[in-house]
Amino acid sequence: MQSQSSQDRSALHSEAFLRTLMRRQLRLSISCALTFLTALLGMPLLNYFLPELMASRVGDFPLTWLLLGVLFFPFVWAIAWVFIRRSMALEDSEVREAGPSPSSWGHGRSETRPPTDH
Amino acid sequence: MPDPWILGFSLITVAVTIWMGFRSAKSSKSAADFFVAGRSVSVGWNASAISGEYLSAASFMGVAGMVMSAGYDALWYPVCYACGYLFLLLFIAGPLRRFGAYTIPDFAEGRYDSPTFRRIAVLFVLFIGFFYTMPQMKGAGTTLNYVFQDVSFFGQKGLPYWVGVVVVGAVITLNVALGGMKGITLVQAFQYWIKMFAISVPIFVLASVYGGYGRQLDTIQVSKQADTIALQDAEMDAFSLPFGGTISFDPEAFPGDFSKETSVTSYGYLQDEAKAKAIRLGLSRTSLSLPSPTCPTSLALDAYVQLRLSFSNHFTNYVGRDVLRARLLNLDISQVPKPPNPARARTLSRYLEQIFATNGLTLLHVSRDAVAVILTTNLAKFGHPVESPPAVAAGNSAPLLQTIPYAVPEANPEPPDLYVRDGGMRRDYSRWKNLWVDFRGRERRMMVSLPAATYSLPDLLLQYAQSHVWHRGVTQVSGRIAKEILNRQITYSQPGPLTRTEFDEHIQRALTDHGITLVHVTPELYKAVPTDSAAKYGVAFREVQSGTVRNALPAKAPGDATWLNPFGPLTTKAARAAVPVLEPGPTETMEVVFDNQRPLWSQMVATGHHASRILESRGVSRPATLPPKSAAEELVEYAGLEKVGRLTIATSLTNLPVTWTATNVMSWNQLRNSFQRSLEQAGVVVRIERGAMTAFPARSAVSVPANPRPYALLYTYSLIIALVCGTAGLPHILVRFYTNPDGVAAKRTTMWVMILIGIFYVFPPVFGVMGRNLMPSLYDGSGVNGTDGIVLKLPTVLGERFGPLGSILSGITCAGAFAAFMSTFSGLLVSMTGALAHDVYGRILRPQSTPEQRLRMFKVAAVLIGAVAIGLGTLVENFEINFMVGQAFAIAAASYFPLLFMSVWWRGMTTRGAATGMLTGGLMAVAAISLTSWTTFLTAQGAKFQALGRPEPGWFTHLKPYSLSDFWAAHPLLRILCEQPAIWAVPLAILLMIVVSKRTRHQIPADIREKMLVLHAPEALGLRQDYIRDHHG
Repeated sequence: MQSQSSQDRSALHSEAFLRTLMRRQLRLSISCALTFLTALLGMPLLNYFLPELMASRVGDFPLTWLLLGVLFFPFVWAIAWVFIRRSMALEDSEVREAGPSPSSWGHGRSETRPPTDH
Repeated sequence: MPDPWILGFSLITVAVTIWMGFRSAKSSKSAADFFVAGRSVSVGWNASAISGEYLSAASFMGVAGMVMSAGYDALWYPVCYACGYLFLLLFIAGPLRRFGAYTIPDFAEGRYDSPTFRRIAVLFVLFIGFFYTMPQMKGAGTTLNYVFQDVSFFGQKGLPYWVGVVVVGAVITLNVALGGMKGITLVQAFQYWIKMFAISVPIFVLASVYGGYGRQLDTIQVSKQADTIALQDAEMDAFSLPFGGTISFDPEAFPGDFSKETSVTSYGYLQDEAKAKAIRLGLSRTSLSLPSPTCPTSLALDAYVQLRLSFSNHFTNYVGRDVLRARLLNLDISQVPKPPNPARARTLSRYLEQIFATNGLTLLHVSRDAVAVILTTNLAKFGHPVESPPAVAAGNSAPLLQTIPYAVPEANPEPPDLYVRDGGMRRDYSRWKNLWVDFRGRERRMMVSLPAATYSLPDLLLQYAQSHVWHRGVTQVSGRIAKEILNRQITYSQPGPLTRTEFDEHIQRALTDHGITLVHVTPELYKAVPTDSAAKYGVAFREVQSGTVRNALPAKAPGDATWLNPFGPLTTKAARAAVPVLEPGPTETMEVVFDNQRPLWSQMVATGHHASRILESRGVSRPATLPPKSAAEELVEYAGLEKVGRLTIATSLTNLPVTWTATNVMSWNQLRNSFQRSLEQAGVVVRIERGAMTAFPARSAVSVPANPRPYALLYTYSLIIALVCGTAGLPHILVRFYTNPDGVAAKRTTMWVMILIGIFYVFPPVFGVMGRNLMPSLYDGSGVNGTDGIVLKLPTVLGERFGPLGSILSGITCAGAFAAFMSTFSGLLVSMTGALAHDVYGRILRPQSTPEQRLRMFKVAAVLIGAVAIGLGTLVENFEINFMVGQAFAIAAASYFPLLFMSVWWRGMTTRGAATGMLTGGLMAVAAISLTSWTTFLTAQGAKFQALGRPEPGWFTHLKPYSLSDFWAAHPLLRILCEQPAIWAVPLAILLMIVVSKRTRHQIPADIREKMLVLHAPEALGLRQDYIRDHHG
């Protein structure tokens, strides 16, 4: 039993595990980031190259004002939501892949405590 | 006596905040301690607390103020503040939480095992912290000034700004020093809801009275034309007064040898370009033959251009892509009756225009010397209504549209100087293959400057019409002025060079302010009528939506077009301030003297510069065939034309040859333009200012950016990068990020934080928009009386109708403001003091100090930092709150963000690499920002002394030459890069980190893999415990 769990632990400390871990997380973060960055960085370009379209009125709002002043926020919420769900699912799958949990592992609760102030 | 409601709400908020802070001091628990009796705080409270801490005075007051002053561009701030948080979530939050580091110095030390690095990180905590406290102080000063605005202090009305800063700063510093205001969750959560309540309730009330967000924006329309115009000549008690720039002359008026007829006959089109240029308008007859019955379109267009070349030296034609796509290669010319042969050039060009029209093409005059061919069906797309302008009823007795040629009568004084810089497309005649360029792009490139003065109405309309001649490309503009307003005097001023649209707007606004409405009947015909009795002259207005009020904008306010659209005042400020500067070096100054008795050109004749006939009242002429002259001589003649008194020339120009290329007979403006053109071709830049002309070589001068938009795009991107990446660096935010006990709750908290701050950020721009409509007087103020106070002051507009409701709501927003800047300032003070006391004193100076000594040091440090923050705060009265926060973010983006991002995701980082990158990026950003802030500070001080009429104090006179404003004017690109350094500082920091880390790769910690595992592996796997055990075991 002891050698089994220490084998598992050394697998966890391995290079391969780290790489897979980082790759997956980076991929998730980057894909979410790219989505919102395309929108964010694309807006000035749209304003620059299509000024009449962006100045057209939707209801009472200029389109570009509506997009940037109001609609961008739900967009950001949506990305945050997607990221949170996916990263939680990713963590769960990583934990599962690491194998059955020996007793030395915690369960969901981290025991990190913030430092005390002076 | 200050308003009781406002004072009351403010005092309550302050008292409650301080009291709660002191209560927290009593307990021995730490700021981030949530394990109160074993329980943890709920997601809701936690999310509110984080949101409360996030929303500083910038979010509360600053965003609204900036939206009001700068318009659309300011919307980037709230969006990027929210996006920054998302960025944190995506890349940094998870790993940092797993690592267990709660401040950046902690993280720096843990990741690199380097206490030195910790100290560097601490240094930046202080830097960024100070830049972030300054806007809070401005908020405090503004709010306190407002609360006590009816009271007199030191003989002045209103609490002086610096007093407010000192009072608030001292109160909070003392609190922090005495151990209070640690920012307990409950207090911060409360603060959020106060702010949310304070920002939203007044908006809802104001919206129900004055119209909501959409309605307010609807009243700010960019295009405006009076809708219905009828030429009711019978009722119009007016007479024609010519105003306008016509470039056609009454041909019969020219005596002398210009009446020779030149006849050119050829098949196809006019052959000789030189001869075409020599044909004077209308004075000679030209023959034109086109192949029949179908003529190639290119041929017809060529002929048209050749004819136009007789009016101006060069003529450009553009062809719309839609025409090319339609493949209209041949025109049917059989429909149009042939003109007599030979005929005047004008008649022939009209004939050609008709040919185009019958074939479904329109020749759109882009400007005086450019025309564009487009499909008539697409006319609307290019901004012109498809229907032709209302035709003048032919049956009227008196001709209404009597176009009288423009003449400069000698008796009249010289019209005011309208200095136009055309940086646009003046190219030589090019052929059919040229493709379309948006002609409105051209319009944007011309900047207009009209000196501030009081003009008579006809004179001002002259300038307006002239700008339309250039803009619309029509050859003549005429109009009518109602008799009763003929002698009105209009005071006009404009803030700096304007684009054509803005110029139009300013003139229109100046006219409306004087009770005059200017309407376009057609692009070439205007009517100026008194607003009150406009209906009498057949002018009707579109009804503004009932209930929506719009007050008149002061002159300093940006116009609607610039305000509403992207790339407005905020992002184009640097580009517009650019002016060409004189090359340093030897200059020669000449006094140009005029003999006012004799006409200008006779003087030239007398001195033998050239022999030409002088036609004072009709125009001037100058033979095209002159020997090349030197720039100096040319400039003397030009100065004579402009009647400047003094001419300064860089000596290097004295012998520079200039070739004159122009036609002979021309109006004053044509002559002026010819001078400018020939001088520009020779590489000379001429600047006319206050009766003095300066000339210098173009290669040494920085040209005014003809088009400020690319600069504005650069500014926008730099701003976005600064704000989004900078959130990572706020010292007091990251602490808050992980005050949840477990990962799931942490993520849910984050989601709620995003929602809470997102909802909040919708409201400040509404304040800005409403402020523009309802309280535009703030545009005239500066410092505490400027737009930054809009959130506090706007609710008072309700005071007229609803009595105390206005004051109550204003009191509520004041309470929100107090909550905002007090909590942020105290949070910052705590972080900075902690860094200074704990890290610098506790670890570096006296590691053996006792807890009592440390506590005393904490108090001393708090007072010290508080004092510095107060001192800096008193200097920033004239900086916008939001702008300063943007600067703080830019520094964080250049230092902390690269550190965190690279440390988390790349294992190859070493201490030295990280330190180099962080220090270089951060310090360079600080330096760049300080340079531009220095200039702004001095300029604002100068303006203040001027406005107060006080003599300048000694220190100011001493420092003024070093204000760098000339340097910035000459280098607008540098100014943008220094004001918003993120776009170069962030990549620089990252690059340095990578390069130096690669070169010091031996310094990578041995247990880097374990560190990275801790950063990235799920907490459930317990790798952190392993690491701690191994590390300390």
